Amino acid sequence: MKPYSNKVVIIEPAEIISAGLKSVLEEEGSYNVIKIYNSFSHFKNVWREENEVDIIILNPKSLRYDELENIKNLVPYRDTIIVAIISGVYNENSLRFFDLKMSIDAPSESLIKELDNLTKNRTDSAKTDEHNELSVREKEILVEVAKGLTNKEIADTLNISVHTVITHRKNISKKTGINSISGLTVYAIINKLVDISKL
Amino acid sequence: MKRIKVYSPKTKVADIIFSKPTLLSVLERLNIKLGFGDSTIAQLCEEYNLSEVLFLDICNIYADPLYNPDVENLTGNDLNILLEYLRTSHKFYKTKYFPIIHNQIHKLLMGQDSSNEKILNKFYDDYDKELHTHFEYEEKILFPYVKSLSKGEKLSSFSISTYEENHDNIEDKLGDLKNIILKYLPSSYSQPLRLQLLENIFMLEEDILCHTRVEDKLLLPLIIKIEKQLK
Repeated sequence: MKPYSNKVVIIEPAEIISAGLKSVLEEEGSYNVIKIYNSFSHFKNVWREENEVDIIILNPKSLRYDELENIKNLVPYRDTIIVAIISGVYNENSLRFFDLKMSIDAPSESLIKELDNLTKNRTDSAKTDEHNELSVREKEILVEVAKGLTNKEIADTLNISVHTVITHRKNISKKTGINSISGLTVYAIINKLVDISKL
Repeated sequence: MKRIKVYSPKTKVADIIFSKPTLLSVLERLNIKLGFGDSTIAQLCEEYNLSEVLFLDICNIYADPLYNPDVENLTGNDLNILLEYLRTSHKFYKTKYFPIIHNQIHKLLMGQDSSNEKILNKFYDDYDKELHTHFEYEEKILFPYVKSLSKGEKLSSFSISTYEENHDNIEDKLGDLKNIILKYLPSSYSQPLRLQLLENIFMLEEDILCHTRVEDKLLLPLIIKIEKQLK
């Protein structure tokens, strides 16, 4: 099996720093820098919900004070790991919502080591997560799957991208343990998400 | 990486069954009668005129998911025995496991929520059809080809690459069924029936996985080897 590679986004104004981070992370193999932004506002404007991201590494200087305080709600996924990359002096308290704070002077091995620990914890906790309840959106999509709609048709009906539909479907299967369309249809009926006459 | 063989010709047949009870079905399919006392695998194979290497390979494949047999020492005659083994295996699925599971599902669902009954019966009936199509393909297309190979002939109408394309996963939907019966059907359904059904699904799943491994790791490489010899 191909090892999972964590999708990383870097938000850092200095090109030479982001390029350095990218090469350190990708050399290691389990991290893949999918995009680099030079400011947080740029990231916020162009980032779409369907683009999955596991880790965001950002320079806190690119954030306003209220954004720092609210960082967990500003990123698209709640379980995204947020790393502050720090140069010079900083206020410890203002960075309390970050999962990891790394000094730019730190050796690259320690950055990788800390990230490995964080991503490992996250996969472990995902495995033992007892709350596998489907979200409202996932239930909506499940109903359309049960009705026999294709991913493209579901995307058009709910006005979202095909990519988003696929991501939701993956999560539905992960949560329920059911992979086939006919199996998901049974699940939808048993849980009374859709009436059999609507199929 | 070459793995250590779990069983050897000197292993007692009774011991392999104690260590891996699923192997009972291998004995059944090779038509080996119980009551063999302390016979070793070597003695048993001699008595039943079976190839020791082939018998050990099958047992080791069942016991160890990562076991990779070496088909170098197997012959056209082994291919023939393997073919009989797989045929009997199919027969067992069709006449034993599938009808039992089918009946248990029908019985379990009867008299409760009619939507659940309808949709789950449909799920299983569709799966049942898929399985039969899968087996029928192997019996009508693959097995005659294998038979011809074992006799040293090669039917030109078939190529092993088309087989690999058509050889889809038949155990995936069993996973779905397990989840549905175990986790999602409300607790108002009969507990004893449900437990029996689950046990049978687990047994079938394990058996199909082993059966598939025998096909992928023994049958296919042996076919490819003999095809090369006949060229």
